Amino acid sequence: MLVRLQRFPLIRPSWDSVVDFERDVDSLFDTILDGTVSPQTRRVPAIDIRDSGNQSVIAVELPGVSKEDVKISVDKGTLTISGERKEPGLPEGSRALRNEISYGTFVRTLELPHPVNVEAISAELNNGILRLVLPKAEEARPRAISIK
Amino acid sequence: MNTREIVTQKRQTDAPAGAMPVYTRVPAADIHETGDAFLVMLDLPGVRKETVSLTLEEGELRVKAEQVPPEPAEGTLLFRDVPSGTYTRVFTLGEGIDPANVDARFENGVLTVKLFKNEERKPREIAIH
Repeated sequence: MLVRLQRFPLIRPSWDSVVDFERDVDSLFDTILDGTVSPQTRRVPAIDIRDSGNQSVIAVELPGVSKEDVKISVDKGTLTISGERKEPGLPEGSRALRNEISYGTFVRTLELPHPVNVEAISAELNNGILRLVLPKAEEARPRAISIK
Repeated sequence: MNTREIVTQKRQTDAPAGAMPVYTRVPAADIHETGDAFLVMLDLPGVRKETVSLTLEEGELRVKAEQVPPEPAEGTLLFRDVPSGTYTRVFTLGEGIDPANVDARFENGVLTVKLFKNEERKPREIAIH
């Protein structure tokens, strides 16, 4: 099931994200009809966001991307993940028979779900997944209120 | 290689009622033909090498892999673009592939399978006497 909550809209919807949205719609029909998710290569990397109280974790699908080619920046509550997926080195004279994977630059911009302690953000890239841990700023942490 | 594929589309019907549905994702693939081999590249983000199963049987190359599910400690899901689950894709191979000569590696979430051609399919230089 595709979950699209409007709480984290793309801030600058680009043409790429429109193309991806159309794919998502096509894919949704496949999912409803036979439980599969179509082959898709996204110009805007797919993400999921989880919340665990004191922090949130954003996972970004970046297969085939090297650590050196990813840039993460935070500016006033806006998180931007950008970079480049380089084409694999192929022998001279090779011929493409099928081309579903897209190479080149990618960018994903999203509004942070809560104020973040920017200094303490950590990121790691493993098996094609970029995992960003965003500790909540003190004022955004859940707290128990004692009754007097 | 014959690039016509059969994509297995099997619904998880044996799952208990009320369980989270398990989705089958069809990974994006590139296929290239080089002088002596065919290269199949598949995007498998979120997969550990140990969970990738690759079989070559009766002219079919089957790829299956499990995405690592997030730990419960990761918290509750707020937003998701693509459901996680199992990756499956089947390629029907044409004539001219040597089944004993296949090489695969997994790096940065991308599986690259190199299927070498039969000797008779390899391009060769003909000497002129």
